[in-house]
Amino acid sequence: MRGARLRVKPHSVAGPGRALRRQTPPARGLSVGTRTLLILSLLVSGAASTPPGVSAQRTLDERHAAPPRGAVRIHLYAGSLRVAGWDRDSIVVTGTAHERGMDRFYIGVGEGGSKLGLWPQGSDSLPPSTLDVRVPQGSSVWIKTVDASIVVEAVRGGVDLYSVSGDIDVAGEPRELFAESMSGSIAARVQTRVARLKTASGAVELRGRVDDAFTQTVSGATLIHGGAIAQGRFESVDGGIRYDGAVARSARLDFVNHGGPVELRLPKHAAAELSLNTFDGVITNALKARLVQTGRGFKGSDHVATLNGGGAHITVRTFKGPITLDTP
Amino acid sequence: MTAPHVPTDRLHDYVDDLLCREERMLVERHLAVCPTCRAEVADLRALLADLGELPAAIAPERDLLPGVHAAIDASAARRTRVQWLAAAAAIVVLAAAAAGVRWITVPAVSPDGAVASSGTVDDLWRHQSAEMERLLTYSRQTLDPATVRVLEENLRIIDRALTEARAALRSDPGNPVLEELLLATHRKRLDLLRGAARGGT
Repeated sequence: MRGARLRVKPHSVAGPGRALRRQTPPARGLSVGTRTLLILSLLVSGAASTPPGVSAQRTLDERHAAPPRGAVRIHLYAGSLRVAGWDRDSIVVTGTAHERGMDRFYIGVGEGGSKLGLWPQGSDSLPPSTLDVRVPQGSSVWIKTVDASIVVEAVRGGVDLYSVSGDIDVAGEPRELFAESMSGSIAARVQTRVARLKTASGAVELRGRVDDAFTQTVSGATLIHGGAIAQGRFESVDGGIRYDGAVARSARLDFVNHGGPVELRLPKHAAAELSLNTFDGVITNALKARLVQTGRGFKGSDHVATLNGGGAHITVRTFKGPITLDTP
Repeated sequence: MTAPHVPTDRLHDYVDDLLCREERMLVERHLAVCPTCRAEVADLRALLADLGELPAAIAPERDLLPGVHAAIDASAARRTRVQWLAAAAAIVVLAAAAAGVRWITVPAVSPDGAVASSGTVDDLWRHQSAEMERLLTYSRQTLDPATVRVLEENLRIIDRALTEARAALRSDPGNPVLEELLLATHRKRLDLLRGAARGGT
């Protein structure tokens, strides 16, 4: 089933014959003279009173019955997109779109799932639009944007988000969360089994209860609010990684950085076994933990420490990024 | 005159029940007179039926995770070897996915599980990155210039890190932490390229 859906191409869905429901009804039942007067007066009043850009906006209002646990695929080229789960079996799309993009709006709702969006043809671009979408809370949501920010709230199915340069913000209890951006930031306040957050130059912030977390940046900063992450791996090449908060006794946390700093801010009562290794970085221990040098016979600085009798397993590996242990 | 066939994407939507009522009726009207499209729909439905027969999940006979953790803790050296082995396997899978049916030389694995040198694995990752860059050529043209700048700047950061890690490994061969860092950086390079390819319109 999923394999078949993956072959759907966004460009094909907005062509002629698609269910386009624009909010610009054609003028009917008016005489030619009346229409001309109406158009002229609209043009004059628009030019005199409306700032450029605003006059080109059109409103969207689409309402469809939808399955309670269907797949919802959304494409938006530019602007902002908010998707919120609700306890009704319907999809509602409201918002504004530039008139130049209106003919690229599409929506299709079936028993198995739904597709909607504003996407250009070929390599064209589209002006920014604002979409506010309500979906049944059990839906699985898949979103792709180029330059549109994404906000997802209260969706309980799987959530898979991609934006080239838009920021991503997710809150709620998705079944699993995958979020990726090239230059946008990613913020997640979630309770989920799996969270995978990747960005190149954007920042990542993760807060919540996660069984299996993974974050990755190249140059962006990472902030992890600890306390309820059972297993996590947090990686960067050059961006700082900071973990702030408690550590569950059974947690396994790995931090990998090449040149950026790794900062662990752990409460005094944290029970953990630490393994810290840096090839060419500096380790600063403000936790007053007793660091023991291990003798593995390789270059670099290699230490272990046991906090409060041990418990969680924490490893930190850097090439030249400094490692700091501190309290919150 | 025969009506043009329904595009395959739309037939997929039809089978997946993603069409609105009006479109569904249009497709069904065409299917009534077109044996070719009917056959394609039948194939798609058969495929979906076959997929539906597959179990949603296959549970292992026992909980493997504690054993995996114990094995990981047992020896840092062994852990590194397993990681390199996994990396080599991942590269093979990625290469097959990216380039279709294609033979690729797998590093020799001796009976005791030892993998070829880290240099060989490094070369395989380099090869894979190059392959992905080739695939990215088209998508790159559709990316916004600002995004291309972000991509190139981050590739520079990664390549600098790879150069440093390789030089360090030459001065400290076999250092498991350096090998782990090199591997992690390679993975990020591939992820970045894959992400950029996904971003094309």
